[in-house]
Amino acid sequence: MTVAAVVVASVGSLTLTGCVDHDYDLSKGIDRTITLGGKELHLPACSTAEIQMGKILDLDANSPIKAITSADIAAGKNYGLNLGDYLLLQTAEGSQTSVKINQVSLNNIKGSNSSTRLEFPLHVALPEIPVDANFENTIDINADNLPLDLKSLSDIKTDLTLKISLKYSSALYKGTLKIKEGYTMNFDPKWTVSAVGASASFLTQKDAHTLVFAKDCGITSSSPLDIEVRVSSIDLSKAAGEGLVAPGKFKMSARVAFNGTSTIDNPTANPVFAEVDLLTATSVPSAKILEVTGVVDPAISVPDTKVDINDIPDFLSSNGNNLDVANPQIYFTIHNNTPVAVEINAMLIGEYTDGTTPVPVGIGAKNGTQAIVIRPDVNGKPTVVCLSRTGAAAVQGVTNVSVPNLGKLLSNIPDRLVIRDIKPQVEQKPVTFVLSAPGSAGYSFSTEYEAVVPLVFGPDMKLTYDDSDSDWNTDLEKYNFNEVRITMNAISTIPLNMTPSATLLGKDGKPYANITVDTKGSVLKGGSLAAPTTSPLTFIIKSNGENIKGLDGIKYEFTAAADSKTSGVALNEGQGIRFTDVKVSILGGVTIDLNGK
Amino acid sequence: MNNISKTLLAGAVAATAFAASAQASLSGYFLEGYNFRHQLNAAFAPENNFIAISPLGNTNLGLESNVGLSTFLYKLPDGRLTTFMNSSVGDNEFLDKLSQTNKVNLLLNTNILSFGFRGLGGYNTVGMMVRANGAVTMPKDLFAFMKLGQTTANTRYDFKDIRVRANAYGELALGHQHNITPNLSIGAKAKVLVGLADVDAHVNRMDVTLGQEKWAVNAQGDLNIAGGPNLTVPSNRESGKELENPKKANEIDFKGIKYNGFGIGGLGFAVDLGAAYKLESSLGDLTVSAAINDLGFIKWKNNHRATTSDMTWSFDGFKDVAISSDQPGYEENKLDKQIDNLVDDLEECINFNLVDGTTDRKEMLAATMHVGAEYALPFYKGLTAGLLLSQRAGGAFGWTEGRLFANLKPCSWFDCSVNYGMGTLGESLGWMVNFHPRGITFFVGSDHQVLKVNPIGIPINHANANLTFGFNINFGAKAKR
Repeated sequence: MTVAAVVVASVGSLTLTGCVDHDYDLSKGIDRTITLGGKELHLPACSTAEIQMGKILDLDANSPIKAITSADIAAGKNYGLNLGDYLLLQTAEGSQTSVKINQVSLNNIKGSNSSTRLEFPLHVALPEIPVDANFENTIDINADNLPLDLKSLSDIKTDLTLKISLKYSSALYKGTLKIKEGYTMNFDPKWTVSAVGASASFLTQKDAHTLVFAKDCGITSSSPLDIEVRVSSIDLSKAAGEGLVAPGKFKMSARVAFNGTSTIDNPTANPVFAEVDLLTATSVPSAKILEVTGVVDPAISVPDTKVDINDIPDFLSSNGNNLDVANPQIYFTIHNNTPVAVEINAMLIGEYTDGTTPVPVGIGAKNGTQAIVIRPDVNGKPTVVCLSRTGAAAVQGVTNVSVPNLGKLLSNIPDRLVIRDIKPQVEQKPVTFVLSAPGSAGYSFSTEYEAVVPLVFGPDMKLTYDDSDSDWNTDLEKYNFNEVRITMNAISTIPLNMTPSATLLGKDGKPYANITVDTKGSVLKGGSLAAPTTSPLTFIIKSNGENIKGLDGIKYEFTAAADSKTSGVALNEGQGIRFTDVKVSILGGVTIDLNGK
Repeated sequence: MNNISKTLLAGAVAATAFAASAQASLSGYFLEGYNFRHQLNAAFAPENNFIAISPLGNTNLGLESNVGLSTFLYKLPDGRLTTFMNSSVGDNEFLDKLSQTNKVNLLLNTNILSFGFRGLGGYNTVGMMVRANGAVTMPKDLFAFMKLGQTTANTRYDFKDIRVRANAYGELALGHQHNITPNLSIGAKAKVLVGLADVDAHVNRMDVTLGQEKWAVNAQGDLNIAGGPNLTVPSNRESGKELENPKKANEIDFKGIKYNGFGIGGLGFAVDLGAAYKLESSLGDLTVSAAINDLGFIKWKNNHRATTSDMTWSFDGFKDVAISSDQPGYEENKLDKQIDNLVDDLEECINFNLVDGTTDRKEMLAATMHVGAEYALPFYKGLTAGLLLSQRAGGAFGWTEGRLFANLKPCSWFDCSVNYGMGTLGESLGWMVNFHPRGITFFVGSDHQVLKVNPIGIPINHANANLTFGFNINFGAKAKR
């Protein structure tokens, strides 16, 4: 500066000058506002790489939205989708419920006693004098302590022990009374009996309800004969008026007929008749029902389940969306190792944390949909029920249930999906049901939930994708322009029609008034991987102010909608949008204020 | 004016402060008492024997330009000034003021020791002086590009002859003037030139195309820097710079240029030739004269030459710009990288790459030709009218001018001149007063009297300014007129 100033001063002072024009007094300062390219400036056509769906969705690693992989397909977990198709997959923590009817010990059992006089003729010249010993005893059960879960019984498996004690009394005879081989005990035909304990050593099974003495058994006055018989089942189908006669009440009467020959030793000292009284006592020390065949209604309690749907792109859960998901699916995987079939009714509720009114959708026959019946597992395989909007089969081997209103539940992706008021109803048909011993777990009924929402949209789909880039925090008061015109072609393989718009933002976050953005051109037409579409777009940006001070960001918005041509196509990670022939024209130049403050 | 503006303006002038092919003042061409008019025409002999010592003896400082302050600064409605780039300045309002080639020359010719004396049947002169010339030329298209940008779908600009040139050399001149007849004189001068430094950056060609489909620049330029043996002009590689782009290895490292003590950078030779013939008549005397000066060259030693790559840079848009880091080829295709590559390519196109080794370079001087005629009024010989046609060679730096003189020579110790010129540098008013009583000569004059300046003396219109002054010691008897 010094050298330059000296030169200027030298020239100025050494030249004998004429008049001084104070209009060009540089000491007053020079306004250094300049406009570059005052006519036009055109940036040659540019293009972008394809902005693929992954970038648009900007999925978090933990997002429940994922693309189908080759591994998924190999594992059969592609839900009918193709490689790369996006779906929202959210698994809920399941529950396991114990299902049981406890074993019951029958009360109010009464066995009968009997006394039968046997007259042995002593005039026969035999070493043992035979005489028939035929009589009956009865057993009456009037239990009132059966579980109310038992609705009807046609057969029961029992742990019932019947004890019969035989002894005699006689004034004359003091020897041994023998029950001869072949002596028969006929129990009630409904019963299935067997000799147990020591009785098994002398009793043989003639049929299910008949025991026969296999050898002679002696009874002395001081040593009775004790017989122990186990009743393992009772067929109630043949016993009219018996069995479960009322809720909790069990009634049954049974007879045991004794038939056969008994003998006494022939006494030599007394030639007259010998009279012997055969005494029997019947008792039932324990009688448990272990298993029933009939209609039961055990309690099955399935708790409510909540599924939080986190880490999904904001635009999928924005207010005003109508995703019109073509065929959302909710999979119930239910292990039912009970012998009963269970019908399910429940409420699916989409809940929102922003106060949006929850959206309830009922499932099950009571809620107007197809009945959801969970049959007992076969070979350990669970029942998989797929609730879907269409009921169409997406996965083999599942029970498809159409829930037309399921789309409403997901018209705007909720923050939480609640499965509430799950009311299993046991099918009232005869089954064989094992009652639970004390401490045992009983049967189990477990549920798992999986929400599968393929990002396939119906024709009513509408969503708004917006994003902003703000807090530019750049002092733009030194810059201005007249008009910037941006034209481009958008090549889209995304199966959505998208209408773009943009709004510039001021530092207060409100629309920036000094600049207008006018979007012209058609909607970005939805395309597909096989048939991309090309749509022209034009943005005209005009500045109306003295400068662009306060400009602090831009908000851009794509309103996406499907139509009959684009609906039904899954969003796929291979889809995207590419901008070509992007031309930027600056009309009227760019004004820069180079004045220092 | 703030500091930046002052620096820019002063710098523009200072940039030319080492240039010129200045000679004596044209305003003294017809003044016999002007001791240095032999520098204008070797056939003109001074009246006196003289000796001039130091710059005080004769200095000619000139600024020549076909643009001025009013070309680039304009008044705003509020009275302030603004630049031609302000949108309030009309396109044609600015561009119509420009020539196809816009130039600023600064000329300095200063005496070290000069003397002249009669002898050998004529008049002999010996002169030692230093000449410094500086010049900048800018094509009109460059300013049009700045002002307008694109005007059509495919706008082309021609930036050829952007040039910055400066040199300095010493001159030892031996001249002799001889009267062949009483009315015919001739003269010649032999000059030995000692080069000190020379810089010449010249964009020979720069075609700039701004199309909607493609931008393109095709440029070819040369840069020559010559000086004494102590001058070093390194490349980036020679400076040991670490470069991300290996293509920049041969580019000149301007920050690394050193001149550790001036030395002789070149030698040259030139001649001045002149002739004058006086026609006497009762209607008045008419003297016609012609001269050609600085017909010669300097051969620069230790010349460092650099050239542009003579390639065409083109830009047809950013392609496949990667938006997201997870896109294939993101690092290569992201916008920042594409811009970097674009700038690198453009720099490669226009940057000067040093040619290995130093060479000799012969440079012709910008010769000047004068043709003059002086008519002495018959009724008063102390008043003459003159016409001088001048042509300065030198390509873009040259000029052509015609100048009308009114010369007043009322007595033997004083004469003066007022003249008006018109040429490629615009109009100019010149004058000189020359006092030459016995024993001394003092002169001062200007070929370009600035009529309108701003408060710090910068010419408003064409920046033409010139000042000549000198004080000489005369000895011996005056020549008879």
